Amino acid sequence: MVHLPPRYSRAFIWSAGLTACVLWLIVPTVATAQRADLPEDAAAALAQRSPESIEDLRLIQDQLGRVVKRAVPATVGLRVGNGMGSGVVVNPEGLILTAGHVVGRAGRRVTVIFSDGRRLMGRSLGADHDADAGMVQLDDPPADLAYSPIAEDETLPPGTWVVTTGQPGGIVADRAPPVRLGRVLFTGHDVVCTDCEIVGGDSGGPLLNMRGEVVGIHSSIGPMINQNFHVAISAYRREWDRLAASEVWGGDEDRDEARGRPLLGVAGRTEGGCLITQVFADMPAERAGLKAGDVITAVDDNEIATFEDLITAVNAKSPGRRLRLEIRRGEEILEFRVRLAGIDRPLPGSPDERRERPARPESELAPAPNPEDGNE
Amino acid sequence: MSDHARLLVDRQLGGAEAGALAEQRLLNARGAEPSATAASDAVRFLGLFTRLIAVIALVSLAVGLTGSTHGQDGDDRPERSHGERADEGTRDMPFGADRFFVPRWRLTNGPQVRAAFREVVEGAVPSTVKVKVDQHDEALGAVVGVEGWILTKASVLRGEIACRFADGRELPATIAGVDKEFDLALLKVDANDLVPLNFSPELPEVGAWVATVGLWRDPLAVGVVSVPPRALPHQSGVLGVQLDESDKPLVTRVFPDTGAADAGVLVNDMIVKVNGQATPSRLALIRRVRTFSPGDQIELEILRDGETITVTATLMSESTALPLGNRSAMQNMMGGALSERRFGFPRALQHDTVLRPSECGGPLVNLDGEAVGLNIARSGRTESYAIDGATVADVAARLMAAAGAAPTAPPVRPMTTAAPIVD
Repeated sequence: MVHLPPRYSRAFIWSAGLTACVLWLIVPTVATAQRADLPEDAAAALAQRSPESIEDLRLIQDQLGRVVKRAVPATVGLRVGNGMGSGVVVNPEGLILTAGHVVGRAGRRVTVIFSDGRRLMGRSLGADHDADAGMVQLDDPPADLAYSPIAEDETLPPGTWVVTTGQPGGIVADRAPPVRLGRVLFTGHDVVCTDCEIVGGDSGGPLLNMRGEVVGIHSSIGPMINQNFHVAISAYRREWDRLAASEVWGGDEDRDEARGRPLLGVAGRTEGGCLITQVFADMPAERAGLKAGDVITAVDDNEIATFEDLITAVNAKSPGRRLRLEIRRGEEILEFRVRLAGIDRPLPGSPDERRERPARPESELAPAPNPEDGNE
Repeated sequence: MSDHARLLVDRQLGGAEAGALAEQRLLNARGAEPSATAASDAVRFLGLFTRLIAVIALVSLAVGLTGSTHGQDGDDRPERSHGERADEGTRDMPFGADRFFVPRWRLTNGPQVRAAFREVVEGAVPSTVKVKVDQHDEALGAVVGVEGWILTKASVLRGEIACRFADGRELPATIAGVDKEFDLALLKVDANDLVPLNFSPELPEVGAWVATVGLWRDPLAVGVVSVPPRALPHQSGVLGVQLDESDKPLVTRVFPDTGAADAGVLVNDMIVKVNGQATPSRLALIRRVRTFSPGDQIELEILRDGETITVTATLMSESTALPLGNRSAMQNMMGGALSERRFGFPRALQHDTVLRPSECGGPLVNLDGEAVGLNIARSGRTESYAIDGATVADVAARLMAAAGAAPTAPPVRPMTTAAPIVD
């Protein structure tokens, strides 16, 4: 069976159906082996509110084993520009689902890295930056391509057991995509929240149900261990045509600008609070109306007492995000809204710029990058 | 720092961070102090501002209806998350309230799921100890010999050590041997009636359940195997000083809340020896410090005002010392504390159990109740590491032989199949 977004035309349904039949004839074992069998006793154990016996646990474990065998080969790492994310192959034609923020825009070259180390080239298709959905197409999908189909049944009641793979921290040599088991905690519009822990690099990786079908794509995390957010598969199904047609929409700014590191564009020091001593021309703070001599007292309702507080608050945001700044200017309390810009290279004179100079002073605090910390 | 240096443009990116650059959507918080933004992040992400007030009202109603059910299972663990407060039993949450207070039965690590593992861990509980250092719980440990031999995580042992048993006994312990590579220590307590654990040479498959045994009848936490055993490269320890740009090992800055600051290193100190080995130049010092791991204690010989003094400093990991400098590190610290020494093991399996650093060092069992590993580190938001059973048995046997333990009770279970021991 193919999984059809509701907007498909009749003609397309026909052609897709034919394609599926043809593929089924050519590679029957591959095409039928992608979805994991779910025996009745395992389904019953999974449907319980909580497992009640070792036998239940064993049934869940065996089912997870079946899912893992299919999901891991279909999970890919994606290198897009300087960024590393994850994705999942969802059909034998080489379509990969990922997060919108992993691809950014259409037409970018993408290196697709499989769990066995194989690298193939692909190109980004569309992205919905409201839902954080994105697509990538492999240039030349191999005949033996492993894939995980998207789920027919999109409903995810709280407590549903789910599986996560992806490439946390980017591709690590000799490490297959780590498998994590969790449960759905709640769902919202286009969002699934689970206790499958995810982290940077996992973005775009699949959330799977216990049949090995894709039910979500990793998108973001909150500060607590149980705040792992995934784009619901319904967001893809609903906009399938637009995404496949390389349409990019949503978000509140030009995504290219949002790459890199957050930029407010002020200098200051801690003196009677967070004192701004300089506001740089044509940067977000200036555009918002900040002036030298302003004292920033709050960012998004979080109190700012020192310049270090401001650095912390800004660094915790992504480029493109809007902040609400509360400013004390003389006797007045003012409020400004500012959208952070992003930069890829350090500004002259900043600590980063000095670190990157050829004869940079080494310090104990800046040891060589550890391969375990980041990507390859 | 000058005004200019404080230009608000940069996270101090290391090259290592590139891996996380695609992760702009991941909501960031404040490293080790995540709670401040918890509610606001969840709310903002879900666009639920408008419902907030109503939901809070509903939540208080739900709490009022169901009452507080904390700790009824005798589990003394503090709350792990925002999500565990309300409903334990049959009643579900009013619509929308579960975004803020997730009923515990839904959690993979909730008390209901852990209770299903009761029989799985019951055999290993008597062989598990809580390792206290200066009266603080710092690790767990596994009994490996009847005559008071216990294996635990080495790098947390800095002070008076005591082992607490499931039967309530608490005995002082001494370090009888250390394997630096695996960060394992052999402890000795004065006892001759302990129940040793048989470590199993079976390697659990990816996706297999693993339970972290505590002193209570239910496991402390459960998870599944994420990645088969592999070597985890060394991560350099960080002292927390900046050095002069000349060739001298001269301290120009001591960063707050680092090992250097705690040890009392001062600006203008000249660090001339590390663990007795001379560090005549700035580069020699840097190289020497990098050979150590986070969590290692090093002895620094310092020239200060013409006098030579000696201090002991504990190295930190880069991300602990400078969590805001690295987005990847910051995200990994979102969700709980990490072990100081968490990399650089010759061989460890990765699992997804959410552990506290003080819950490492003890046995990890499979569904058959076999000890298939020993937790060695909480390493990131998604990863905990365990030394596999065959390796643990091997290290334990070696350390016990070196400490002069009677070789009567090999801590490895005799093989019941013809399969070779994987190493």
